[in-house]
Amino acid sequence: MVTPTEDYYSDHDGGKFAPIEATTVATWKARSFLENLAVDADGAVFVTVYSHNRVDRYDPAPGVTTTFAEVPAPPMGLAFDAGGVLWMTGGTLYEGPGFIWRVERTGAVRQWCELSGRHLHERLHDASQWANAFGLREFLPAISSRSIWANRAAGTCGFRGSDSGPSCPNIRGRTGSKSTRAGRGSASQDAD
Amino acid sequence: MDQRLRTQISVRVPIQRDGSPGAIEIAQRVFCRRLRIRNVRFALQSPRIPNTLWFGSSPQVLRTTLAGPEQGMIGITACAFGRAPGDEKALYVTTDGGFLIPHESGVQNAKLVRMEVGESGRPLLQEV
Repeated sequence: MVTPTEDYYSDHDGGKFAPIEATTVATWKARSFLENLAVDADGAVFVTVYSHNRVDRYDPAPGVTTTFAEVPAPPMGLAFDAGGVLWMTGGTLYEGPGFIWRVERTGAVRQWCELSGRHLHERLHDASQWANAFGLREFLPAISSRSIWANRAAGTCGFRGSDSGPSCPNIRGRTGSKSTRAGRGSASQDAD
Repeated sequence: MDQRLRTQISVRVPIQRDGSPGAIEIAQRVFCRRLRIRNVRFALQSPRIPNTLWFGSSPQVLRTTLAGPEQGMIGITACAFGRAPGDEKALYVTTDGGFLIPHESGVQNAKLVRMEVGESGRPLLQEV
């Protein structure tokens, strides 16, 4: 099904059209879903491949793309902190839970915390309607020395949140546990 | 409730002294209509216009379409400026090839695209 742009945003006129040169530097097979990207201090571009549960790395110097890390759930937002550590959010859309992972320079992935949709609903006791838990969708590019910020989005046609009021801590942190395989490796110009 | 409304939540997770996560805090919750701006980088912004458009934004809030389907930009999902020396004025853009919202030309390969936009990016936030 094709949805004309104007059906979504009829108030957008697009502004002036002034195309500039665009060079495709890497491709993935059709139906691969690239969700987000971040660039590290050395200029390498990291792309979350939601459809393949992994993060790919594009190095502009040689123009090569490789698999950088694999994660147990679809990755979404990502951002680097001042120390060069890559932080990622993820989770399956419309399903819970959401996750925050910490990825070392080596590509080693560690689940930093899990965000339960049920618990979040309990915290949002005054919410009128909710969709099923959405995975953590995006990082705001905001990682301070003290906290991680992330956005979480939900649609509308779901169940009613609990009226029981705020609950006890709704996050399960796992520092140093549940590591997953990762690492630089095979060329992945095209996703499998 | 308007079915087109979405709930957008920003959460904050403190990093404790030992590096472990603290209790989650819901920093902001808003109801909004369809998300229009998909991904933002300073000096340029990428509204999520299905399959087609790419906008630039000046401080005067002038919008310019920099690329469309004819330039291969179908299903734009995110963007970020380059950081390598000599690459700072490049904008990297990801696309899903119209996987989520197909273009009339069909679903194409997903891409990482590099565009020379002529100006460097700036971080949105340095410290919270």
